[in-house]
Amino acid sequence: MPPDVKSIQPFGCSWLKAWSVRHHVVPDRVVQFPPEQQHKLHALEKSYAGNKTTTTKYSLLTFIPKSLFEQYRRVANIYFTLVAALSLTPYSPVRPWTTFLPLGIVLGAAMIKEAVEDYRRHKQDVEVNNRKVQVFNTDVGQFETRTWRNIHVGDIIIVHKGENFPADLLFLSAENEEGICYIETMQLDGETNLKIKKALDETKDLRHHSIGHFAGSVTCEPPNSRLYQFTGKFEAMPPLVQAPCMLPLSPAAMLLRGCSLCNTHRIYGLVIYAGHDTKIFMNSTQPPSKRSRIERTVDRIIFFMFGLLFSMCLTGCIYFAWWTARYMPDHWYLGGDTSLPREYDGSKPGVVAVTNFITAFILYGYLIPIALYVSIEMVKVVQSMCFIGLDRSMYHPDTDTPAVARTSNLNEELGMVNTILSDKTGTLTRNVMEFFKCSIGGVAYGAGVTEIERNNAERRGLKLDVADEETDNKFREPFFNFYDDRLMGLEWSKQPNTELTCQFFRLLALCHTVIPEGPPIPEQIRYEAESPDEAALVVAAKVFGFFLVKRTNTIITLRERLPDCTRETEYEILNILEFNSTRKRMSVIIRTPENKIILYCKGADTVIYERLDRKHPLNDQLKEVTLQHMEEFGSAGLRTLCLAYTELDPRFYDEWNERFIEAKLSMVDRAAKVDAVGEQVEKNLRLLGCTAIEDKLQEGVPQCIKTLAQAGIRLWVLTGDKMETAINIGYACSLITDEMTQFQLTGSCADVDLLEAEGRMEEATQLSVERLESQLNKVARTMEEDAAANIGMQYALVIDGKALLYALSPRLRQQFLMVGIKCAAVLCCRVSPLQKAQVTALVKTWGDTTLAIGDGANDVGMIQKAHIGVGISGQEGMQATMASDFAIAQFRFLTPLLLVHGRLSYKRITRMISFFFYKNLFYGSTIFIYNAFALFSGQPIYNDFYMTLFNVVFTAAAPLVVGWFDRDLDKDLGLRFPFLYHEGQQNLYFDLPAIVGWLGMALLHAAMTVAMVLVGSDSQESDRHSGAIWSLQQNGLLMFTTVVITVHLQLGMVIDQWTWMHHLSIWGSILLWFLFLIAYGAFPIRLSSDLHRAFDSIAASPNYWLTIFVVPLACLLPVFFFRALKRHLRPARYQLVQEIVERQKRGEDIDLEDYTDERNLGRSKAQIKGIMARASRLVQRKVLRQTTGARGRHKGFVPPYNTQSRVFDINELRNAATQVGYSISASGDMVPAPHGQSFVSNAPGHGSVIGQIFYRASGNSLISGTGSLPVATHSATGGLFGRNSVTSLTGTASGPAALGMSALPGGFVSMTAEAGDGGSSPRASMLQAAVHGATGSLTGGSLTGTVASGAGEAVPPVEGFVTNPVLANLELAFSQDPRRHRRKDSQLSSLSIGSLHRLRAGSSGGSSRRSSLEPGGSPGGASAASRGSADSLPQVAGEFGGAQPRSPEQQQVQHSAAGAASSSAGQQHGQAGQSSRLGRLPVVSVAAAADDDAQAGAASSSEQAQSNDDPDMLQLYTAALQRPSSSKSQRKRGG
Amino acid sequence: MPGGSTGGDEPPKPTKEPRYTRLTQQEMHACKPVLDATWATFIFAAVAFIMIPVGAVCLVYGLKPVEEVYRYDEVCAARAGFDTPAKAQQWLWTNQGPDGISREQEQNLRCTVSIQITKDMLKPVFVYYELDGVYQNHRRYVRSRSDVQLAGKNASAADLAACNPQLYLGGNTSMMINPCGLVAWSNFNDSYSMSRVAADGRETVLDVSGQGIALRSDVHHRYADYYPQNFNPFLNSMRGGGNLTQPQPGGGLKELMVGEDERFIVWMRTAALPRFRKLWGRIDSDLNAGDVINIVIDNRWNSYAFKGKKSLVLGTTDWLGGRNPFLGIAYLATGGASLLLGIAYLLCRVCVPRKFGDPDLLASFVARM
Repeated sequence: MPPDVKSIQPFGCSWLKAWSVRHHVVPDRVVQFPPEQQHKLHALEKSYAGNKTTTTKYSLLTFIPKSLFEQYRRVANIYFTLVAALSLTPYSPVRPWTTFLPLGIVLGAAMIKEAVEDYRRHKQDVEVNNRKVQVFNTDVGQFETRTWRNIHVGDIIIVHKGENFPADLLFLSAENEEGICYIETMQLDGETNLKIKKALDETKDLRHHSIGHFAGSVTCEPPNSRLYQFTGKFEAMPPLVQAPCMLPLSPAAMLLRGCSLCNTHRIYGLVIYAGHDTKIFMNSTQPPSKRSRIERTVDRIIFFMFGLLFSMCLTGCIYFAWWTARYMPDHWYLGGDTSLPREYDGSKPGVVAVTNFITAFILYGYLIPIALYVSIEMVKVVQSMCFIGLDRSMYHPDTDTPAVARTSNLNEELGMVNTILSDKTGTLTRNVMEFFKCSIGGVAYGAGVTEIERNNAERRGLKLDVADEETDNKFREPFFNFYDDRLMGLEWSKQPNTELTCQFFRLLALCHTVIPEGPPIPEQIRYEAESPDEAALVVAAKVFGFFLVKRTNTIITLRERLPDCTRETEYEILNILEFNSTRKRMSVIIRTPENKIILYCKGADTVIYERLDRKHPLNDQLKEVTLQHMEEFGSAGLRTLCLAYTELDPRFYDEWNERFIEAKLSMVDRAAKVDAVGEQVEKNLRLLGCTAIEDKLQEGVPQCIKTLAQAGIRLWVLTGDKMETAINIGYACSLITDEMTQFQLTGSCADVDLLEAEGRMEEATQLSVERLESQLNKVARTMEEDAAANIGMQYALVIDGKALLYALSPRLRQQFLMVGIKCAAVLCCRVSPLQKAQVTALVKTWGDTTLAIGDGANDVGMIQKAHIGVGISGQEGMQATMASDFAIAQFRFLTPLLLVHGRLSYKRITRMISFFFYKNLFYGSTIFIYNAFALFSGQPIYNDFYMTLFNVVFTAAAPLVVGWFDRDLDKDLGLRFPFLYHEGQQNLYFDLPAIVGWLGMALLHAAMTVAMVLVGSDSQESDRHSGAIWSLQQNGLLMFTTVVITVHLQLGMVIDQWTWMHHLSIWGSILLWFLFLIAYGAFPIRLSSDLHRAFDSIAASPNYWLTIFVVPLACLLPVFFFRALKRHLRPARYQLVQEIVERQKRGEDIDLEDYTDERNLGRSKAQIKGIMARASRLVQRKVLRQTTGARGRHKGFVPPYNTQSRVFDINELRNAATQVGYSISASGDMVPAPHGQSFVSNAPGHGSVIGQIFYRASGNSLISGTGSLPVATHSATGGLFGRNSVTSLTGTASGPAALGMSALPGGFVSMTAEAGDGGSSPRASMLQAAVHGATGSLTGGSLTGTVASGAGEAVPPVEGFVTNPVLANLELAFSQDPRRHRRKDSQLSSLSIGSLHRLRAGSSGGSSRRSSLEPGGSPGGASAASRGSADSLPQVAGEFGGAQPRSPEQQQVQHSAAGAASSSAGQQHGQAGQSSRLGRLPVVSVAAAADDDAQAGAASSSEQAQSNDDPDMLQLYTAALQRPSSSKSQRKRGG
Repeated sequence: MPGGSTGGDEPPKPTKEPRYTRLTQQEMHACKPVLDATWATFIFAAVAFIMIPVGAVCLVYGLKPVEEVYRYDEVCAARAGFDTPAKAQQWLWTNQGPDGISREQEQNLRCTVSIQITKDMLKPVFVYYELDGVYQNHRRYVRSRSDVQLAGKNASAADLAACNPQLYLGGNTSMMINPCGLVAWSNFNDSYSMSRVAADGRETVLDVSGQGIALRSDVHHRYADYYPQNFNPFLNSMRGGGNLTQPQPGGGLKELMVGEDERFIVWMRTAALPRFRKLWGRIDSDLNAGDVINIVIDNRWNSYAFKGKKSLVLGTTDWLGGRNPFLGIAYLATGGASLLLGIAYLLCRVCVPRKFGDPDLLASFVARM
């Protein structure tokens, strides 16, 4: 880099400096054009990589050594090779072919497989390298056609529409005036939407004939993997420009290999990076050969076996050498005095030891199961081909795609997955945006039910009667899934605000960057959009009658269907203020045919609302309700956009336009200036409404994710999307739930941006790292505190790409990992492919078994890196599939893949391997132990022929059958009981204890067998009437028989289900041994040698038959006892399920609903916590708002999914709570700071006393209120969150008194109402006590009415309404955002428990979603309520805006519950409170109504707070109970 | 691989949909026993109730046969006045000579012992010799034979390779030894002749038959009837064992064929352990308690070199074989253990009861997650 660069170029120095600091080692890349200059100037530099690419693993030359090396990564292969070599020596106890044959088969098959696969890759490479492209030849001055591989850095090439870019190009020009082109990056990052690229202004006019004028040099950073970053400068030379000048280059001018050109005829580009230097190649990692964890463990066991083997050999050879030297000469019968071979020559004990070692090494080699690897391969191939590949539950009919196991190595790894790393777009979602709902002029339209709503409802056990709208909708088309009679056709013109509606549609049709393609017929036109959202909006406009027909650079033509006519209108586009992440909005300024200048703007609600015209009357009217709609849409999982417009004064516009043009032309800080000027015109907007778009989830994703969560699998979603989108999807697929505490880590903040802008990269990095570190610390601290406080909180972590960049740095990654591991869900946004792989690698370091799933080329790195890579097949891109280990068509197929196939494969393979080691150790040990009686001379007790056949014949079938067909449970039970998956995750069947157990058992059995055979049938014993004595051969046969029987019975003992295959393999194998003995013994003696007629020698021996019966039984008895006992005392999960299934089979009725779903278990506990957490968050929000004065809304782009759940920091919450006199208890509850205190509130005079307690203490709490005035009313709400607490309420009233209360499960409530010396007030009544929960009881209900006059009467207490699943209802009440069901002007809104109960119980009688909530009364109803006496309080049925009337059935329910669960009476009593606005206290609302004169009603009302002693407390209470009103009122107050 | 044929208008639309089979869908019929209390108890009980009676029977019959053991190697040496093994071996060698001996000289090795019968022994009474410290299971020894040759087949060089060094007599390749190998070479050649002195003092010669003592399968299939060649031409030549000759009642030696000499066939069945018995003959008359058996032993086989032991055993058998209580004990022990373990199991179930298929327990698993 020349030192004078700074002086030459006016800006961009920051970049240059930054990158020169970062990359001082690797020289910058300099690309010259025309190339001659380059060669001249950089003769010394080596030329840059060419464009030829290879992706093969081997070349012809390296194939043999490299693939052999691969094979010898398996220890056992090394061992078997060694054994094979040794078996050539004369010291071998076996014949060489027995060792060479299996080895050759194993190695050969594996290498052939490798070769075929690599050849396929090679063919693909050749195809790619030979693609044609047009390259400018500077010598000739013309374009010529070359192949891809012949492109070099510095070439100028032409790419036509639809072609792929052969290398990373600098975009010079396109065949259009603007110098823009659209590209599709599907292969690169998996996103299907188009992206706009922009050429430099200086080069954008170059064309075919003038391309030779291009001259200059590009200096840029060396090749790297950062997809979205590019820093470089372009030194333009004459004749391109008048005078040489420096121009900065941004990523916007780069066209990357892997993308393809769309919507642009052709472009010219300068090759900057070629071949393996391109970003896509830099991002790709070598396809690793994966091995499963089990296999690695197998290697370790084999190592252990080696150790055992060596020690056995060593023991043996030392003893034998000693004995040979010392005693052998005496043993004349061993031929000691004649020409001894060296292995028996006692005079050289060293040689004897070594040779004996070799003998023993081969002999005891039966410890190492030679057939194991072959068997594993066979089993896995069948598992993947026949079971995974042919599973009908993983077949996707729409795309005709079955699941494919592309490698068979990893089947059992599927059963051990801890963490799934998933791509979002195309994997979780279909990447299909559909226009779903909208709100125009304060009216919400669209009747659909989103998936998340459905999921939420399902989760709560509600059945939604999903209308058949979807199928009925004749307007339905891609991008459009909307139906509302009020808008369709021309109906919209009959709606109020027709003008507004019209503008709304026009905005949809005009404010975008979409390009129409194809014939201008609605059915055939295609819209090319940068993002599918935009397309959805334009399509919506089309359906509504504002059809975008044509677009040029300046004119948009619409075919408008208006009530009176259909016309084609041309709108002149004056300016486009583009969307970017800081502006979060886009605007277009158009001139209408009427010559009006209108600005249309769409964007995030926050930014739009800030710019609304305060004076415009309609705005005020719409603001509130539109916001509400947006929040409703948001919480239904939709992506919302706020729409607004304004009319511009032509003079103002002209003036502004000048400034705008000026800003556009400015060279310094252009973007900022343009933004600033844009700001000036985007103001005084008039609100139109909002749109809601659904990004459809893949089928069954939420259910699948839920199941995976139950199986204990963490899910990390890694997406290239924006944070907001990611979060929305997270909610939609129930990855994030409201109960979770969410942490967001972002990398960008003002300080950092500033530093970056100033080019102080190092400082910026430093600052970012420190910021992130403190954030991470905070998160970790919060988690620790929660853990210490025993709060069973679940966490979700959201992190963006920039923060991730630092989080993955060596300094922070451990910390990041620790935090991430504790989260139930992690969302990484804006992630590059390499980062995906890095995250995967990071998670792997934790020791987790990871599974990466994705559909695009951007996921390849991750897929390869993870233990298991899964590709989504059946879609366009094949890269992910090609790199994956398993390919499935849908995300939801993960559940059968993991929970059925993975689980079964894991069990089968581990069981098989364990059995293999067991039988081989058992068998090998018998050989060894026997050898101790034969001086370790190396004489096997068995004949070497059947000794070899033990592994490959007599015990080969049974393990294979286990590996293929064994099942502990029917396969669907794996899905029904997802927690069964834990067995694999925790590796329960192949961890150290399990392996030690099997091996220990082998040794035990070996010892028992040898002992029993050699003691009971030793060489001094006669085994038959004829007096013949046992011989070595007979003993061998006997021992072998017992070994064969024992191992098979042992296997039979662990098998859970017996198919005919099991029977065949087990009994068949045993039988086979005898058949072999008979058949082989009949062969000529030359072949059968000492086995000749061997069966005859034992068949006549009763001793033999009796022994082979007793020895296996004796061996198995202790094991059986142990297993039976363990099963009884500590049954495994699957055993319990077996038992349950057995019970069901016997016809017993077991309700398993609760046990299959983790979330139902310990429901109350979890739910209380969830509710409390939510309440706490609400309080926090409220307090924050109070303290900051801000609206406290989330700063995000689209209205956040659910504003209520955006509480990030429990510490802040704690502080906030402290400020208002509360503390957060260990269980996450809000408790009044003075813990467990009694509240005595006396309010003499007219007044109501309201006390609230939030507490969880076990002490008594007393709320007592005394009112002394005639019409005083006491209403007490107590013990809401009390559990195991006694709440006593005493109200003494000299007037009508009423007490009401409500408690949660387990609460004991005692109520005492004393109607005082009444006098004027005749009556005291105790109202309802609603005690909920099965265990709750209403202990007291005494009413002491001191009735003064005869008119007084005591109303007996109403029996508490005991509802069982009230908790569910309570939670429902909380989680259903009440705002969505709020009637704007409703004064009363409460929930009727009765109806909820009914609903939950499944009475679906015409219940719709909306009827799940029973809005409380209207004002009229309320007064009616207040008139009613307590025991016959009529239930007030209010209707929620537009909701269906309640069914009679429900009404009935409510009547039956009348006066019990909930009632609200709201009427303001003069002195009681200023506001009559009743809080909507769902479920637990308690109100007292006790006034026969219709005089007074008492209500517990949030707004009464103002008259209360402790307003904060009251507000907290109401806030906790009902989220909405607070924010609303707050907003009113604030605004 | 996906990619699918979209233009599937033709009737037999090719689909990749997997066909349903019980096998591939993993829904094969299966027997699904669940090891519950009933099953476990049943199994324990069944094992016990089968094993214990069988064990009792085996024990009874295992203890029924009678056995008399007499170790004679030391006795014989001592009688001749040689008290150490080294001297005894020298004595043996001197009287056998290096290259052939005379029968007369061999008389010096003869010794007579007596065994008192303590229990009645019903015919047939088997005569065994028991060797201790003889490693017939040494790898070199076991391999040093040729089954092919013994079966009378033409043995190739490869078949015979293992016979080294006892393949050619004196290393002379023209003089192939048949039967070759160390096992045959070290053929046991002590011989016994017995007489019985009844309680009344009457002495009768006992006929000890060498016929019918080998396994029939061996005699019929594994050993052919042929005369040995170059096989231990002189008794104990080269310090090996005996050859296949039999003294004739009238004096002189009769050469036996390989398949005819059952004692040789018995010897060729190598023993699994260094202490073993082999059947030498059978006496087809009852022996009564109180009888004294006088045995004249030709003490030829050299066990003194390695301090081995030689014993003579008289024993009877029943259907289960010789006297050996092991099988009975094993059965009884296994059955008893099964009984005890079954009781322990039941006790355990009583003490720590658990409901069968209890969903609540399942819940605890889930909760533990």
